[in-house]
Amino acid sequence: MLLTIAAGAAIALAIPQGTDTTFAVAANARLDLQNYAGEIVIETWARSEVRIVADHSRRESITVEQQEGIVRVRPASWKGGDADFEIEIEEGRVQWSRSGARSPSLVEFTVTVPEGMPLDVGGPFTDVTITGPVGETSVQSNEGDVTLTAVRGPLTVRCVEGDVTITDVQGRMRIHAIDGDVWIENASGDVVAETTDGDIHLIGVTSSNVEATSVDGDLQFAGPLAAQGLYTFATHDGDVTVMLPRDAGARVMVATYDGEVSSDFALDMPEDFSGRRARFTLGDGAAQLEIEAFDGDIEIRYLEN
Amino acid sequence: MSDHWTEKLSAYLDGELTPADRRALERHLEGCAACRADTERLGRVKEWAATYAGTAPSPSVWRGVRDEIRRREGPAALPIAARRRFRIGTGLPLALAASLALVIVGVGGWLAGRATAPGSGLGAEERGALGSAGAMTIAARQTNAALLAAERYGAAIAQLEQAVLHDRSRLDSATVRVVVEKLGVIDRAIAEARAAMAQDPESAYLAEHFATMMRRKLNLLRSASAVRRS
Repeated sequence: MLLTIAAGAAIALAIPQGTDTTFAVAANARLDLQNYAGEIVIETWARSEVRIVADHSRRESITVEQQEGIVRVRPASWKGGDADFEIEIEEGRVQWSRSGARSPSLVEFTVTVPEGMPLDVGGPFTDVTITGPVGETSVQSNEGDVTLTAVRGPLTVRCVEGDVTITDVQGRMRIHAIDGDVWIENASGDVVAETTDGDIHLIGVTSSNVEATSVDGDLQFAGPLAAQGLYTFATHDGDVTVMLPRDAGARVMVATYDGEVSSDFALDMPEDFSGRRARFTLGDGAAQLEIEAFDGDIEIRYLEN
Repeated sequence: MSDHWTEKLSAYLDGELTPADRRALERHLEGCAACRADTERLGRVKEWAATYAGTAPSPSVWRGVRDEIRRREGPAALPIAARRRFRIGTGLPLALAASLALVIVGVGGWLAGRATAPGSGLGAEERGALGSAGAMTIAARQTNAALLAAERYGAAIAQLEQAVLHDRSRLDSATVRVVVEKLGVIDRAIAEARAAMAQDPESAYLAEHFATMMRRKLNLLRSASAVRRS
């Protein structure tokens, strides 16, 4: 049974191993879940409760701390948190001890949160999977894949090494990857996606503001253009493919140093614009579309159903 | 792989198993790829945790990053074409000239002694071209603006490298490896952009692309710094 301990930030509640606990949370509470290594899986339900199920070794335990509207969940071996002491309550027996200096272990979290709950989750060696209408979400991982499905609300993902996959999402998305691909499919909302070494695929994205950039990777976009929308795709070493409806309207700028431009649309292109830009207008020119591929080809294709 | 063995991995890495348990586990690891993978992963976690605890790492991994960057940015790595002078017209409007002068003075300290290297902004000849700029076409103004932006990014890159140099590291070696590798990717892009500018110095696109790559390098350093702080 979870007990409320109000002895300050230096005290946390340790749940015995084999963790499976459910507790009530305030309506505006935020979940702050940080793991060392393993996996974090988050789902939603229509209750004002959080359920934490964690698989870990007997050496490990999970600490939960509720304070000032934040629900902090950590492996007990987490040394970077606030907890200096652990209190273990098991079958009526209470013990306390200082946090040990043992190595952290693998923990597989499965957490169910209220719909709309804001999240701040991640870890150095952690895969993160979130499914369902959570609130504003921030994910950070040094090494691990991030998969977000049917999420509602602003998203920020920072990932050093790993792929980011976002599907059926509404809301502003800011994806900052360093080494990995970014997939965004069937999404609506402003998108900023960048990676240093990886491809970016934006498929079925409805947005009036899209910016996708890579240094070494291909870019792909398929979706409608909103009037007055701004769409920027830029890569140094890679191809850019933009698929648009036949009635798309945009002022288009393309630029490449060592690549070719081809299009299903009728364009009045100069024969040689190596190192230069070319501009033309599609349809009513209502949107603005900028495509750059320094060392790669640019393709503008019809978006077929 | 079984829970029985998995639960012993942390204790194994900490040297807390009895000799008999350790031998039994090592025999199991020889035949279990999943447990070997978990052991390797836990080993990296343990390495990371040692630095995360705030203990003074020695040597700093950020010093390693800096040294690697400097090694890759040696003058010998520069394409000869990158040192060619930029040609920009004469007759710069007074107001623009004044603002350019202010910016150049502002970064003058940083400019002094900087080599023409990927990630370090412009060389002396290119700066000289900027300083004597006269009447410019719109494209030339765009080019100039981009080059000045690249200068500012270069200054910020240098400052950030210095800042992290004196800070305690909280990055694990795997993350440092990724950051260094990707800085190398950007440095190659910067070098290619610089070489292209040398071939076509009047292209505003190439100058802006060069500036963009400089900004990407700055952003990567900032991202790495944010990971470190978190």
